[in-house]
Amino acid sequence: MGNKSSPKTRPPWLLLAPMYAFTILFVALPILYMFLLSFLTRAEVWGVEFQFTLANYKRILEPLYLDTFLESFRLALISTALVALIGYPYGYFMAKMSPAWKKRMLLLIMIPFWTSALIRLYGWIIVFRSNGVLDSLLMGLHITGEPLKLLYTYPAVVVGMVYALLPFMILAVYSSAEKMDWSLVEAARDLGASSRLAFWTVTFKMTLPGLLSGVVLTFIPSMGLFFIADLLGGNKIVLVGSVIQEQLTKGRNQPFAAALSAVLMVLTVLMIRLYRRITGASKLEGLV
Amino acid sequence: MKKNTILQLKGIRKRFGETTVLSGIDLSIEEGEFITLLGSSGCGKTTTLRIIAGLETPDSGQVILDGADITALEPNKRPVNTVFQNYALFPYMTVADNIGYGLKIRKVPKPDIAAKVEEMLQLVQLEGYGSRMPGQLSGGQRQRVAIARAVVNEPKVLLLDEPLGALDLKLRRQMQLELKRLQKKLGTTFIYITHDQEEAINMSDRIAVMHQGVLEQAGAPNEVYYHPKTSYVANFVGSANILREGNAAYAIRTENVLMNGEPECTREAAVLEKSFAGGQLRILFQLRDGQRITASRYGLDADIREGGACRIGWRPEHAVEVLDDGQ
Repeated sequence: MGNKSSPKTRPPWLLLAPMYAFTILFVALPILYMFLLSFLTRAEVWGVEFQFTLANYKRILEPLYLDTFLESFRLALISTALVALIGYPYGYFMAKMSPAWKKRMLLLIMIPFWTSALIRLYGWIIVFRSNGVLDSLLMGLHITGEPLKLLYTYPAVVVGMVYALLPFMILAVYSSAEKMDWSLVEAARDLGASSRLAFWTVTFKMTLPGLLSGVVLTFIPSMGLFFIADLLGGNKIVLVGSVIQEQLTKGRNQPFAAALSAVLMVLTVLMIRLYRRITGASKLEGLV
Repeated sequence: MKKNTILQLKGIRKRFGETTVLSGIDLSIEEGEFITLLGSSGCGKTTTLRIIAGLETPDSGQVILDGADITALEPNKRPVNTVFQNYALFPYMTVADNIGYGLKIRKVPKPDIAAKVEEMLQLVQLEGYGSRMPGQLSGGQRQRVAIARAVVNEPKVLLLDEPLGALDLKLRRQMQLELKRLQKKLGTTFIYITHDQEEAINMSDRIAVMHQGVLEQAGAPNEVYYHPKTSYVANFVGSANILREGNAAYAIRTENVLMNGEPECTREAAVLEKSFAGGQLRILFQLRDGQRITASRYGLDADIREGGACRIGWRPEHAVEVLDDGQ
């Protein structure tokens, strides 16, 4: 308190300034620009006219676009649920392994990141296509008699989504399970809890913040990962992301694309808030 | 008055990989007793406690509680509770929920839990703290919650794993008295772990000194202090001198070393060092054969000067023959 006047002390805002500058420049301003854009009118040939309108938002209410939103949410929910079901045990058991095995398991998760996501998706196409890797394997083992024709189906898209998003969930769960104080589980057992009850009343509660941030890290991107649906789902599954991209490129309707993005963003934020309210996440965060 | 044996350890052995942690522990504990497992870190006292709690399984040997063999019983099925070293309070539960956890698991009706918890808060002098979170409490308060959380289940034996280790000296002393008082009030058997011999002497009915996985001696504090069986015990409890003569070893407490011309002072000794620490004067002597003897006194002896010589000795009953284990 006494050395406020010392010449070496810089005002604290100076230290924080770069962070604020970055956030304003690359996060706040683009979002503001997007929202402004969504209220403007599309120009006849190229660009936008500075004429206020609500028409872009009205257009979203058309069944065609409402269905797209519903479809996107459905896929995001299914993918997130599957990612949580697979990623939670993976991250949890990884945290309980010996240091050497932890490293190996982490490496397994990191290796795919060394290759472009797009190229890895083409790998899935090879796996899924008729008479592809999966079909040959299943037919070779006489489990199936004919090609499954999995490519360009809904399950193929879900597999692609789960594959792409799983690492985020695993790492989020792992980091909270890794920090966990296992003597709490012993305390629960000592106080009369069976190992199953100890898991649900202690371990799960202590790792819930990791699971919750994993869900957020999975759900938000899965709303926008349109290229997975495009590549593995053909044109059967149309997501909001695809529509936005189409409107920006082929449709050259920037204001409408902005309005779609704005609605997507607001809905996602609302979903996350609702979800946090239900699970009581805020109470648990900051404790572990 | 003969009391019932509540807990019996029979030939408990435990290895972790290549290391033998316990090599055959035998110990009987009476109902209502305050017994302390005393030893330096790595002596196996915590492993012994964890085996009693069921958090560790012995390689061989038996744990008999109240006549029943519980060696293979899961920890949640044992009428034993533990106060953990780091308290291990559930950080996301209130103090009241922490204390009520064991009761809730046993499906005690909610109003009964609330009443019990309130009673416990009173017992550990934390009335009004029920709705706080553990993170909002001081170390001493967390300690009390941990004790209440264990005691509320009315265990037959309460295990305490260095529960005062993280507290400062003043609070430690205060908590020692409180724990002792609590134990008398509840009448529960306490098995207490510490590496602090003073703490062990202050609190226990009986002390079991452990060293390298072996139980060296178990007895009342004054017995262990005045009649140590081994040189390790003599040294560890109250730091006695170990004098080796021929094949025998003798423990001589520092306060029993005479140096003021008493008839027993028959040995020539050089005064190596004179220091004043903790209200006690300590003088380090070297005998002719090279062995060193420390004497301690409250108050100052003017005659003895560093670098000088002196005759020292001890009364024959103060040289207790001990088993020499090289310590």
